[in-house]
Amino acid sequence: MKRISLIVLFLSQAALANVGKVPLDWIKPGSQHQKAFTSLNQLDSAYKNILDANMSLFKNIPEDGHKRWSLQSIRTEVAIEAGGTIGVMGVGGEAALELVWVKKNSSSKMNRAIRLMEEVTEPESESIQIRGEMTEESLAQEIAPIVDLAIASGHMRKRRRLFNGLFKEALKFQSTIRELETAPAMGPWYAYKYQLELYVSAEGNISLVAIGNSIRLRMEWWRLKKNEAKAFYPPMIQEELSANAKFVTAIASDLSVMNDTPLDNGFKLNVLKVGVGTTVTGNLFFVKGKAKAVGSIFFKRDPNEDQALVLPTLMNDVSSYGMIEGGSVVDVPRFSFREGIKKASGIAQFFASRAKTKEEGQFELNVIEAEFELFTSGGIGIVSVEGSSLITLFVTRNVTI
Amino acid sequence: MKIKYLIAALLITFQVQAGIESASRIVAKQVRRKLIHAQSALSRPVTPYLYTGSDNTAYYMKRIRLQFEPFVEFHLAVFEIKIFPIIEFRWTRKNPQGWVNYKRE
Repeated sequence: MKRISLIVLFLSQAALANVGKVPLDWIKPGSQHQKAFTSLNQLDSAYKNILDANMSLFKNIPEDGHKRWSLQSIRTEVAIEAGGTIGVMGVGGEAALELVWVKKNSSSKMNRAIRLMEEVTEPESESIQIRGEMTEESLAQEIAPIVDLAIASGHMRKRRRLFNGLFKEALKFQSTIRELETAPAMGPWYAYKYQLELYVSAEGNISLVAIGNSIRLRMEWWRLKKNEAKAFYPPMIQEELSANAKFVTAIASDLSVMNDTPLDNGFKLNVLKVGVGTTVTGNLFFVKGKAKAVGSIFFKRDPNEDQALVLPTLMNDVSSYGMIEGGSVVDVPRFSFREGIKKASGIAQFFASRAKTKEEGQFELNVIEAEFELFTSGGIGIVSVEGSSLITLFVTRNVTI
Repeated sequence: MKIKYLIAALLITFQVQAGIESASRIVAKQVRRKLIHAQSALSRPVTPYLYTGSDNTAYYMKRIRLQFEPFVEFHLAVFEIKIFPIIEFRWTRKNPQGWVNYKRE
């Protein structure tokens, strides 16, 4: 039994009268244009206006009644121009903030009822084929329904071409996943999900961006563990780890420098997504800019892990991260990356802290996704419309993602 | 003159309102049609696979998201409106028997 949820996203082209600007060093680290700085009061006011405008718009959405489908959530986007002006997203360009407004109680009554029904009618979970090495044949079998799904959407025709493209990407994923599994958790953050995102044209080609009638496919592989008595696995020592395992573990340990104290309105920084790619030799790198298929590792915070026990300097032999930019690999100093992450968490929390504790109406803001760009200096800035995001911070309340 | 502007503004407002309502019906119809087809594509019996790990963890394709942009265009008395809502479907399947989402221990 598949559970289905529907998210409707709106892109409003309305311009807002109240103009606010983010400090330029939020966009470009080390920016010297001090005169262009605007006080945060003006930004605060403009951003609150955007939130209020969204809420007043959603108040007028009628109740679903007894329809088969119900509107679960609405996503709106906020953009920042290169000059720092903040506004509601138009068509095109990168969004700096994605705001997800979830219908109140939608996850409680209805989902509980659905889950209960599923448990009654289908007590067993999926039976599973476990193999040490997944063969190409079994990989092809797993991909086939996704190709069928894309074809069934009515937006494309060339099944064989899409199948070949997806198969190639899945093969790459297979080698990446082995590396993720061997990355030990050191600190409260750990990798829990891998997402492969790609645009597919009507002709079945995997393309750089959405054009016309194309669709966007995102496949998510979740990390699972056996539900049985804990077995003892001795921790791997640093020297035993592969370069990729060190890459993932070093990022996870760097994330512990973020301030993730819960905000008064219930929001908490608890997930981070980072875009990665692999070279022909299979090494993991950050990927900046557009790519045909974007892979992302999701990190989650363990709420039970004490921040004070964390040593962010773990994995000392990783001094820099590789980043692919414009076709060539550059080194990003790890120390600067860590400083940038600290700054990014402050910016994400600035936007999250402005959300009301209790929203009026059917919808409430539950997820804020703040998009950041990574620079070769290692600095991090919130992405402007002209930039390309690499890191996403998820600040959430009342929902798990 | 002011009254004419007022009447024109009211007319446009009503037309836009009516247009958006009909657009939402058209989009809903498209979404429903796509969902019926998509459901049939995913309902075929397949053996799900685990990517086995080095210890007792593994990666499992648990969620698929499909996003597309239906296009709705309608002509009003004085202008045209084009709407491109972005719609995303998410399908999630259960974990295999005996497996749970990974959490730190």
